[in-house]
Amino acid sequence: MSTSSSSSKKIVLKSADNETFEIDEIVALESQAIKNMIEDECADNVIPLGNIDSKTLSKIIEYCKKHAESPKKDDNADIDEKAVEDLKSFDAEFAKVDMPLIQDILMAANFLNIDNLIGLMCRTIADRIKGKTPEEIRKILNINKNDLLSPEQEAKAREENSWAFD
Amino acid sequence: MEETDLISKLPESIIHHILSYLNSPKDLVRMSILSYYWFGFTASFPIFNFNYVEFMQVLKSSGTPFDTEEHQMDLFFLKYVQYTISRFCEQNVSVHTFNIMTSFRDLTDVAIIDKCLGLILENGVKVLVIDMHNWTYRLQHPQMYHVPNIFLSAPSLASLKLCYCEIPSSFMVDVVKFKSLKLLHIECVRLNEEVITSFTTSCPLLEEFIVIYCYGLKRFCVYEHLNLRQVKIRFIPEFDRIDIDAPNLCFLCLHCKYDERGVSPSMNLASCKKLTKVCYHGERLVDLSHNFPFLEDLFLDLPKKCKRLTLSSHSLRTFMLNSECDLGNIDLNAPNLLLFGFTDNLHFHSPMGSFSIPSKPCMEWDHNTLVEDNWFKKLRQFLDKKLRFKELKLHINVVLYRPKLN
Repeated sequence: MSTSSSSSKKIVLKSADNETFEIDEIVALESQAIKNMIEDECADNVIPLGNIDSKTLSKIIEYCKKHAESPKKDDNADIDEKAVEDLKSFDAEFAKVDMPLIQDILMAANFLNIDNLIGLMCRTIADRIKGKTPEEIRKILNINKNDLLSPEQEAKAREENSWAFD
Repeated sequence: MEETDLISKLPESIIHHILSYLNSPKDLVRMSILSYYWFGFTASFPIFNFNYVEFMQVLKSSGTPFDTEEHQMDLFFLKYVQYTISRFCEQNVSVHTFNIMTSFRDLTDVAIIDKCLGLILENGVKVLVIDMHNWTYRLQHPQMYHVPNIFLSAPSLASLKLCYCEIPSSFMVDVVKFKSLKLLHIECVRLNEEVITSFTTSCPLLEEFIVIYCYGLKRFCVYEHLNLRQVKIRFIPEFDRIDIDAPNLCFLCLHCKYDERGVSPSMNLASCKKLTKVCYHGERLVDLSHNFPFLEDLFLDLPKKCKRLTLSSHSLRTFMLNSECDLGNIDLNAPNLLLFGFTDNLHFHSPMGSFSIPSKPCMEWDHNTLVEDNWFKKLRQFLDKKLRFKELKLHINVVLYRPKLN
């Protein structure tokens, strides 16, 4: 499947900080929200995305490009195992970003409705939390000290579930 | 520097998505004490799966010393259940699913389980699974868990599964109303005919009824039930009668593998005009054409060698047979049959979905055990009978046969 054929239609996305990104339509179709807009013919040539900054948007386009290029599972029964492995390692590499960016990507992916990307980011966050102590998780999630439970409340919960805090 | 919780600003659906990857109770409890936000959020998740075995695995894999006393572990589990449920009930949300699989050791344990069940029933739970498997090796005198009386008023329940419990004796006296119940699964529970009747009359919307190895049950009778669509029964040896009058019943699955008396239960299903699909697993054949006059799809599992199999039905379209019966001893009179699948594969399970029906009459023979040397002759003879198959798919396990020379 080739995505770079000369006849392919182009779509322009405009970020909150007014940067424009010209991409193939097939890449934009990875977003269910954009797909719906195109199908309903309510998309102009330029689609403004007022709540996504250029740094986040370029990351998302990188993801969509890669996923649009790789063969889809339902294309044929014996999909190239190499392609699947390749996509997996791309996803793993893609997820190596800091928490604030993950949050921005999640917000944007949620807005653009890109299921795979939402799943990837959620799994990434869960993997970072798994098996960590509450203190470590607070650091990872950047939890404000003013939001903590009262010391008595926390002590009570810890005592009730002592098995979970060994 | 920004001091905000990075994920609590995300939409709730996304946070639930993240938590769904944290399936260890240990991680979930730790999340619950992070902050006020997380205390409330983790408490409000409306789906509960409390599985004692999985809980133990988590504890053991995360380094809780093996020599911790078993009762101590039980207590951890029940405390976890209690902590989660009591926090949940402070939130203003209703429970969707409550699934508890555990055993109990003494009355204190029972009291905790009862209390939690009471809370979630009041809270409008929709899907409830109570599986009190008795790990008899742990107990000198295994006891059955008595489902508390409060369970008799559960108007919100849409799906109920009870395993290894005892149903309250007041069940038949009180007016019971499960007015939303669509799926009822009862397994290894002492039952009798009256309890079945009581259940079906108190569940007007019931669509699927599953009864598995319920001792004490001799008859399964359902009268004038308008919504019942599927019935599955695995019965015990003393079971002797099925009597169903349900105009919308379309699927019946019966297992009676352990019948030592050599007697099959008698059936009265002739009024079920939509009953076109039947799965039957048993040692002996019942009179299918008489019992199921509207039969279209039949899955028949007769593991033992049967001497002769005769089947006559004008409505039958697909017939899947799992048996060691000799092809020469099968006599089929089904003029509208489109698919005949015949296998001796022991691991063949009944398909719950629909069969894919070929356009031309087709026979599929999947033969796993060694064939006799005259198999081809038998196949020819079978095909020469009344049935006119246009397509034949063969999977035959052929091994060279070397006659012994004496």
